[in-house]
Amino acid sequence: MEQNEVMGKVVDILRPFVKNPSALTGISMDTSILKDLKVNSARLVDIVLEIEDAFGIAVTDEAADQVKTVGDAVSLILKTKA
Amino acid sequence: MRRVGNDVVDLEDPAIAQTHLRERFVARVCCESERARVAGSSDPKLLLWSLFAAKEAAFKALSKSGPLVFAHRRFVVAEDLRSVSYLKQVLWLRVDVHGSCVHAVAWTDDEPPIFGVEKLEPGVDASAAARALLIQRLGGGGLTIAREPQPGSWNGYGPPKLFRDGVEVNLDISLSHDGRFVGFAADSSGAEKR
Repeated sequence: MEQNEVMGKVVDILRPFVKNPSALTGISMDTSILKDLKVNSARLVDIVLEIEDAFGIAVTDEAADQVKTVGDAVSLILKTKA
Repeated sequence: MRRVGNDVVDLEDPAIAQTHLRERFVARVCCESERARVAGSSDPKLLLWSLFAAKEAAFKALSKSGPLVFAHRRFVVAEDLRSVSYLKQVLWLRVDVHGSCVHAVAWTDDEPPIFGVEKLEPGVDASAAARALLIQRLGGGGLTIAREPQPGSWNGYGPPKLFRDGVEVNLDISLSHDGRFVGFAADSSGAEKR
């Protein structure tokens, strides 16, 4: 699976959890899920579960803790699926 | 220094209306014994979010002493909601329910911190409101709160710090907001050690 494809799917997963949709404009690998998209920690748990379902992977607590940016999520998925 | 942490949850947030019924979410947040307590509770929604807020508050307090993995289910909340454990560390805990707001406060020493929670006025910035509430409760007078960037932290910032007339005050504080509520906790030792 290509990085761009994973990135697109991650953005789709994030979309319903982002309170201000305009925050998704210009989203990049460096975008902070918590700070820039203002996703709270409860929603971050939901996002991890959605990623597990969408990509058929299991995300460990340690790996989930490392997900700060969109790029972190994409890297985690690519690494886990490799 | 005594460490404090706090967290608020707005129970009327539509996004969490059915979360207590989602087993995978509960399993991600709760340890096995907590899952059993939630399943057997007469108010599983209130209990789940009380546990969640307690774990968030404990993490905020402990993470000031050094980096640690934030996995909700590794923070174990006592059945009486009076303490929360992480590995070998045990923090004091207080959980209050104000209408549809759960407010959890965790701290590392015997003496309880001061704390408060308030409903957010519509249109007011939540972060600013939490800071204003804390400063008001501490008596104002030249107090300000600032957070420094901290790469690698969960939100890119370090914990909030208290300043009086521009000089950092050695008093641990914690701020939180969720939905229509803001909250705070502050070390009650009172001695401002500059």
